[in-house]
Amino acid sequence: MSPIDLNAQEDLEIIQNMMAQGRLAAAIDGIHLINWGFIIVLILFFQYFAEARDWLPSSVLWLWQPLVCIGLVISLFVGRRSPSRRWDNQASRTYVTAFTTVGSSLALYVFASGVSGKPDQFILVLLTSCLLGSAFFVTSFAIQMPRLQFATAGWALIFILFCLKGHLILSDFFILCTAFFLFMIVPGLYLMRRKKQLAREAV
Amino acid sequence: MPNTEYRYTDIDEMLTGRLRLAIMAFLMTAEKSDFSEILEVTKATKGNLGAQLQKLEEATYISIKKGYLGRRTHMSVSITHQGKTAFTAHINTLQRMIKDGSKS
Repeated sequence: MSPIDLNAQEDLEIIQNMMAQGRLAAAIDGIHLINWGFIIVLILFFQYFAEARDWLPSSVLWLWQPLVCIGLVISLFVGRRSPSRRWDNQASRTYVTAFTTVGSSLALYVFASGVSGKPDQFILVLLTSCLLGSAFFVTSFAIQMPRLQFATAGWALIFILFCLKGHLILSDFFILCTAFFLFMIVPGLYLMRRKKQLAREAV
Repeated sequence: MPNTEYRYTDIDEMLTGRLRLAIMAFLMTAEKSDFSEILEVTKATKGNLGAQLQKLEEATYISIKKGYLGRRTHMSVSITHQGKTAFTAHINTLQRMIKDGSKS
């Protein structure tokens, strides 16, 4: 190799290393999914025992409000150092927009139906599965991770399952717990593992 | 003897500096960053980094927005469309050089 080629080779090595650092900096760490997934699984679990077993007072249902507020605070705190900070990055922008839309749409539905009476839990389940499935669908394309489509498929299955059932029974809380674990916490853990992998590559 | 004359004219002078090249490579995948993060990944000195960022901004390869984050000044840096095009062309030139060099 001539000195010119050697320089070019060194330049390419710098480029590869810095691009790996950039990918790491912009990578979505999945912490929001784990945070919300964990909170929702916890609430559904308590709600089941509050309603079915009568082990817990029915006022436990009010857990939704404080825990959702805690989730929001954690999201805002974590968001300061994660994807939402990189608004110019297409993948981060899509991820943040998709999941913020899910959260705000559900909050709006609960608020609106709460004002006009009692929120219909069956409609809430259909709305949640439909919105989360769509959010994972667009995010998977934006961050170029086809494997994330298993969450899309999962939420589509939940949507179809409840459409066919046509109503909610108490044991469905366990189905929903499992769904949130498999199709929200697991994708979050997967994104976190990928970020760690990128960190190893960037060293 | 291989024809190497084109190499010197094809190379983008703005990207011959190692630090400028490193900044551009980082921004190609991160798209947006800030002064302190670039300082951390490039391990450059503050003065040198500031000077190189200014040169890249003058070449319209990056855009810089200065503001405040709390009480501290904050410099946000983004890669531009021209920057992306120039960087991609530069990588192609480097790859061609290596390819031609290995043939000779």
